[in-house]
Amino acid sequence: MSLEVQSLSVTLSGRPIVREASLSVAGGECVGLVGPNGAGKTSLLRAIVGAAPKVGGAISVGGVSLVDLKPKERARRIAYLPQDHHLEWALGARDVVALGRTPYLGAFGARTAQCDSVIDASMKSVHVDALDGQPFSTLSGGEKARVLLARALAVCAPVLLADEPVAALDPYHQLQVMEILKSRAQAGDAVLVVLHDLNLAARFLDRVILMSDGRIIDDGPPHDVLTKDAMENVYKVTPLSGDADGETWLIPWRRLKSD
Amino acid sequence: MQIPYGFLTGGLFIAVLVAAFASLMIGPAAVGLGALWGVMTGGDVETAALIMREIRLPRTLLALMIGATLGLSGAAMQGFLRNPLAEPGVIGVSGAAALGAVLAIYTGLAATFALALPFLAIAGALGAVLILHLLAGSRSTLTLILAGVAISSLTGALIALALNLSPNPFAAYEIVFWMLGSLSDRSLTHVQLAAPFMVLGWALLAASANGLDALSLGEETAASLGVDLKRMRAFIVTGTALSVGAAVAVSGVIGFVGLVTPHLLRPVVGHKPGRLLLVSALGGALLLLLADILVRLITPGTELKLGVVTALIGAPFFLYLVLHLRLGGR
Repeated sequence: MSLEVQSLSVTLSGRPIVREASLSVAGGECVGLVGPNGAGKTSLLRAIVGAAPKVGGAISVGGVSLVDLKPKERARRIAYLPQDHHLEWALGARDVVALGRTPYLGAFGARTAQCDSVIDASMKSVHVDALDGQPFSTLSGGEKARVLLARALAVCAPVLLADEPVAALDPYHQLQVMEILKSRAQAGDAVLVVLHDLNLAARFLDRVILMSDGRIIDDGPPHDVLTKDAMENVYKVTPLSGDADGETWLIPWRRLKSD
Repeated sequence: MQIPYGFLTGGLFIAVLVAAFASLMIGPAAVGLGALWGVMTGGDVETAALIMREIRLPRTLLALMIGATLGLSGAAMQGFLRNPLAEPGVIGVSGAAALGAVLAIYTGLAATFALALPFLAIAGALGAVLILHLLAGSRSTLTLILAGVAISSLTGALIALALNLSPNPFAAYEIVFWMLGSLSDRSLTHVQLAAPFMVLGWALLAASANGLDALSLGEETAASLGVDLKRMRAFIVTGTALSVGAAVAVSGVIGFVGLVTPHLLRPVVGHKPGRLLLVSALGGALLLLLADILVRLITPGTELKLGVVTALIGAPFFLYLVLHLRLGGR
């Protein structure tokens, strides 16, 4: 199923944050949403999942408009992994992952056996099955990030939105999380991920959507979008880039002197 | 420390039944099982059966219902506000209900028409919901708490005003004693009056269990999981107002049960806010039944008020709990 967003705008306290953004992510695609701080990436994701008020615009998944769906039905179609790792109570790791099944529970409903197998599979796919009953607060940053990713995967939605899932992770776990996201796309999901690490974006993503100042200014394969010009104009940095093992690497190298 | 859920709820349920039975059996008059049976089967009404029906049964039922209300709404409020120090009164509904009751005593309505007091108390709680809705509508949780604090302060001031202006010392005396919270001299009419509001409130609170669980991940993620936050908030505010308003209406203000019970039981349900609801309701019922039995045992002559006892035991216990949890490791 594909995600379609048409001319979506977000305004916070009268200030336009996202302006007329249109994008689409097809099933099987792993797409990056990149841009400098304040470009409106997080607000765009939040508006798509209904966690921030949008003004105007239309969102559909698999051709069905989200406006026509009840909150639970919408939640079954789009999984959302927010940036922050804060958890309120001292829940165990498995209980956190189980929260991903919320859209399938009735008002007073209990979890079913099928639920348990989905939770098991989600935890296994991100290698946190050994953590099970560990209190979430005692986990390391990398473990927390993967437990929360497992939580998002447990929703079993055809669309996955992830907001900086590799921020605060060490290189090993950054690569691991990117591989997991990529494999979800290869399994048929539409994956849209906000990234600040442009090297990971260049290497792992099928397509990159570049945002600046609330607008989408470019959309295409990484090497077409993350050009030297774009880096200098949008990010105000000059990059270094090259090829290794048939893949492109890209490093922001020097800040442009402010004009 | 986590106990299997079925085992825990089953155990608490049996404990509540035992405490309720003890509550029926304990009192100044020796009333045996025969009398209880007589009431249950609607048989002949002797003195003993009369005591059972008019005094012990309403008292036991009210302790059970009010304890469950305080435990359940306390757990829901802590889960919703994501704050272990929240209690049912934090949104101002107990204060508003108390004001309604005080007005009934102050104006003399309660003296001429006995049920005026619970009716006005429930009206006060519903009034608080209306004000909360107008003030905090769909705004942030913080606005809700601030509006609750404002309502509590205002109702506190108005109760003080009523005491200040009370026509005679007896009215003031009656108001103060009522406010202390008690279950003595209540009848089955009180049970019948409070029950519908409580049951409706319980249903609204229980329906929020999954939403409370999801809220552990924050409002944004809960919304993305299909939790209708506005609806959940309306359910929790209204459910608390209905059940706690009805509780205050028939018993006065009983503190600490709503604060301590969820706090005490949270670790044994693995900190899951949804599961805490039923467990905390049972725990609240158990605590209040035991406190009410204690009241009858320690001072049979000049009975201590139940609200005084729950606060006297609850406050030091709460302090111990906080220190134990904060200083003793986790």
